[in-house]
Amino acid sequence: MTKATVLYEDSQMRGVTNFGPHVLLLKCVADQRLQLESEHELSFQVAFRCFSGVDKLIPKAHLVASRATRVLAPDDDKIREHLGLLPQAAREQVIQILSERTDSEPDNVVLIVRNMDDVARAAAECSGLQLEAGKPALRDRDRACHRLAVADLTARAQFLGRCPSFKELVGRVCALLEA
Amino acid sequence: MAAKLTSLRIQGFRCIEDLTIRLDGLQVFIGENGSGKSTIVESFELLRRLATPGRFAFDFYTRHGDLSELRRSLAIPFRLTARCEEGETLVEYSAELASSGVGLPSFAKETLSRMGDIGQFYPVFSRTGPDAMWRSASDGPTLGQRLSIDQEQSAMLAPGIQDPSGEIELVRRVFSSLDTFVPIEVGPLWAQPHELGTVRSLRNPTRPEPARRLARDGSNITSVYSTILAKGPDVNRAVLEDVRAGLGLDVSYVSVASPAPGQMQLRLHFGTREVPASQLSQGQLSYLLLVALKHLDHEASAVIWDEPELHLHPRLLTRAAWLFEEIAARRPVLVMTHADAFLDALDKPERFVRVLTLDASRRAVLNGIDADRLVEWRKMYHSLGEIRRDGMLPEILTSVSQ
Repeated sequence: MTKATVLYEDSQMRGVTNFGPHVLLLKCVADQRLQLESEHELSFQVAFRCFSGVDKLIPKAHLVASRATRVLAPDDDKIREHLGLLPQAAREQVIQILSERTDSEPDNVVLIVRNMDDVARAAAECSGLQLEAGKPALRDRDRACHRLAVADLTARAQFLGRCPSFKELVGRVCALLEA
Repeated sequence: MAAKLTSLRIQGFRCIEDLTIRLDGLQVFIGENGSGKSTIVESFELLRRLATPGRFAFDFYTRHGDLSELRRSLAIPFRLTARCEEGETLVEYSAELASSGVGLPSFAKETLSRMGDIGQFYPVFSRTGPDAMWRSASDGPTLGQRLSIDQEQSAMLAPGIQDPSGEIELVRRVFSSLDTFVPIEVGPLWAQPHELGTVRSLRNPTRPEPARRLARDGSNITSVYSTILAKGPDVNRAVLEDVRAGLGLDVSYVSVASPAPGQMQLRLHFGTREVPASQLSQGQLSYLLLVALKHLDHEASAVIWDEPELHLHPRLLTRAAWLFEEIAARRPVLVMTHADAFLDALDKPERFVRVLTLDASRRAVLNGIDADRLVEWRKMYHSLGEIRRDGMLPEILTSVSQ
């Protein structure tokens, strides 16, 4: 049974099987839960939906996960501009607005800092994958996440240390699974 | 420096009057039905056949049909002109075929030239009808030796040819290592044609045999995986990574097992469950073929694949597109597709996508995507696939220099 559905924002990503960032999330959750379940088993409990941009995510979020808890994971870098806030607006204020507009619990809104490209870059570095300079190609970004998902535990621990927002997302999903 | 095919000019073939395809990295061809995509694939296949020993003319007739029915018009010669390159060597090969009157094609003209130091091509051989003139072993740009050669095959394959500088060998190598694929039939066993009680299918166990390249019908998939998996743990890991990404996180490994003495069969392992190729879905098998193509060492001079989307779910097709991008890092790849999902998987579609259209005379025209216009349109549409779906593609086309 699906207990949580994570809503990602990815302006370029179109539908793809085994979306890399989500595979990595599942593996990190499996690590936290001391491999109680494999990431494959977890994929039945933690679903995901990927929206092509935050402008699509916000108005459609309320349609998602009618039978599970939704966890919003939009990118942090452009969210303030999109919400009409000042660049220095506090994270709490952003979360509050997102929570109200999407009918979600504030606890279940996690801003990915700065964005999924940064997550992929950290994943690549921690898994020993060389990414080209500049904006990473979609397939490389996805591959970095997959590579880290099959790397050893210490590599993922190092990654979570470098991506506190992703670590927060892992913690949030773990909490929902244990609830 | 690996030998490579750099361009193919096609003239007088079905809807193509005169079209030059330049090969470099990945190119994805889209277009309405009948706009020439499959004719391009067939042209590359004809190049491969030109360098394959046998009876070219007879094979042409039995496999492609009567030349007079394939020609665009009698006024336009049916001609293929290809350029190949290896290091500093650049050669141009051209074959013009004519109808012999009994259905079989004959070589009306065939030439092979090499780029000289002063930037001009000079002939290596030239053939008109049954006579060919060859450059002698010792000379420079003048033609010397005259041979009478078989009308049914390319002069490149004539016995006794002299090839002191290796130009013919270069062209033969490039042409014969072209990989052309049409939609591969991976249907279930029950739907396969049964002849004399046997079924030829990539799903069945096969005899172990070495496989350096993927057969066009995918029938040697088991042998190909046997070759790939024998390359060591690093390759095994990389193969598994690709397979898991496409077919599921619960794929634990890929193996080649022996179900009976002298036979082997590809298997996927999902945890403790072992699934033989005979039981895999059509989409799973199609995807495994692409993974195999990526990990094979065979250095194809180019890979040309017509409609790889057959059987693939749009989300899996995204991964297929990425596999093609990776394959194209090592050799030119041409993909013909109708799938919007394939276009949407590309990071920079304006770089990779070519659009075939027909002009008022129903001639194939090659177009590219205007990068600036695409940016404008993507303010309203999410992707190139959506733009095409809504019929707005003509708004962002730009001509491709021929």
